[in-house]
Amino acid sequence: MNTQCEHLAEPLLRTAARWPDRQALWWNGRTITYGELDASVEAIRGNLIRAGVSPGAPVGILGLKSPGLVAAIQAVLRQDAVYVPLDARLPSARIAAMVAACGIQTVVMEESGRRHESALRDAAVKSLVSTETAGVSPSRSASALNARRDDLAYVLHTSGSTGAPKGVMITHGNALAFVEWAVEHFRFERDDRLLCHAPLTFDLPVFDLYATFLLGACAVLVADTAALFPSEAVRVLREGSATSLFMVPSAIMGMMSRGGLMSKPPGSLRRLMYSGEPFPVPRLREFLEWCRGDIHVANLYGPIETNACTYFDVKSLDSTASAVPIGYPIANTEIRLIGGETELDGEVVVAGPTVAMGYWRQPELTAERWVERDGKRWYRTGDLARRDQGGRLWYAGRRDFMVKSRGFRIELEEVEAAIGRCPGVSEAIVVALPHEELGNVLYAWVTPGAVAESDVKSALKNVLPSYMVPQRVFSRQDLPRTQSGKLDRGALMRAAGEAVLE
Amino acid sequence: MNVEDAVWSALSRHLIAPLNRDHASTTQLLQEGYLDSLGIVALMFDLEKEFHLKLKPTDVGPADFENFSALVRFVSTRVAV
Repeated sequence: MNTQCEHLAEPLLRTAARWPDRQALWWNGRTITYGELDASVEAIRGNLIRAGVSPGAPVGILGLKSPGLVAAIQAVLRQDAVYVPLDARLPSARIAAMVAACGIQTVVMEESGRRHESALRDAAVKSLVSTETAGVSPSRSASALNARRDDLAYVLHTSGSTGAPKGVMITHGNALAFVEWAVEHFRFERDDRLLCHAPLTFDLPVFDLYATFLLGACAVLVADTAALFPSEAVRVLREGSATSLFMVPSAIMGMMSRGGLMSKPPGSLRRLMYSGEPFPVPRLREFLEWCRGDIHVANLYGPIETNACTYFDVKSLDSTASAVPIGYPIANTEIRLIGGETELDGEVVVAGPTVAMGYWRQPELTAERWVERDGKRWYRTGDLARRDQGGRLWYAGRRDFMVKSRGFRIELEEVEAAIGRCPGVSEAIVVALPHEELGNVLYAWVTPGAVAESDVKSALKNVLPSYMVPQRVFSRQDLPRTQSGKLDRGALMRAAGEAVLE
Repeated sequence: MNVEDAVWSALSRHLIAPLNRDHASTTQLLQEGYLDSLGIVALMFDLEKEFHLKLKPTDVGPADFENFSALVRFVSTRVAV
């Protein structure tokens, strides 16, 4: 099977031409064929052409996961433009800020995005294009597909320590390098059905969708609202006969403990690739016992800026295991550990075809995190690791205040900056308390003591995604400090622990 | 307290941000980001306690949390069983 491509729009175009009647997507119990998906893409592309979208232009994709949104992404790519996915559940102010920062003039949106229309207009968006294609005439011109592997394909936003989200610029080649490697390594086949569980603003669906189209396989879409209910995710997995999962451990553990995943044998399931956070060993062991070796389980590591850059195939866990390694670099990728006491420990820096171009319109931050050395561009992840004698890498924490909660990456400084902008707040500090299933739960302390928790949370809802809003906001007249005068995060971590037990 | 008031009391404790009760029946709680997965679990726990219900995770789905009216309907049906 030829899985080599130059352009992210190629896989769907190629498969739709060859097998128009094959199932491309499974959505709420019905199937969408490659031919039908291709027709939707061309209709939306017609609208993009009429809106004047030119190659290289950033185009917002606003809504919740749906076949229409998948088609919109492909339509943008076929115009050699750059897509920027935006979750409709985000506050209007955050969407408007991302749109303005990216210089987006055209937004394709589905129904759930409509409530943000006025914010988009205020952010100087000129054209709003619907994903509805009924009665829309398709594009009459063939897709040129002039972009190449080094050209920008999409921008994914992630939390930023400076107080605003960062747009990570990913090329066609960055995405394809990981997809091509994983399809081969995990031996995906044309009859595979890949569960697409995470929101399209996340990096996991990039693999789910492009691997599907590359193979002529089928993606089983879990609606974003259904994904909030583990039992719904399990229902979709079973009804859609999914064969492969690429998910964050907290979502898998939810399906295990509250979704009834283990009430039946694995059925069609052949693979579990997990990423984004460590999988607690006792729960992973439970999963392995359930699948009795019939499922290929793998731990994939890598921040959005590198796609997945290491892997470890989890065949078994001995009784003394307390962690799972992040493993070995994927093909053509180099990993070094810098700043440690030896070459066997330190910060993870990555070079290779999956490493992103940089941050959108943030040259200084890009220069800080991407460094040139030995003729290569290395991304400094901020993650710490050690390498054992067998060459396996083990995750060893962070060197800054970035944490993961439910698989989402959160810079505590961004949350603190947002709280600091709330009326009446003079100082804010946020700590993350580890939680087995969720990864971390956030707690905030603010001064002065008269600040109301509801006022702060209400203000945050207008600017932050829900997973970044702290579980509790406590107000105090003063915050604890160390002898050197710095805010004492340790004392607040202990106080957060006590608050949870109350 | 009637069912509607008790559901509102529980719901408002777990909303990501305060919501005007007058708009609660036309606000899409999940699609507009007022409830997330943590809030859903905590809300189910409170509803079980308040109404002496025993809910299985498979008893609820997105339609039951679509808006405040849907949630009141869901609880009323379960209470009546």
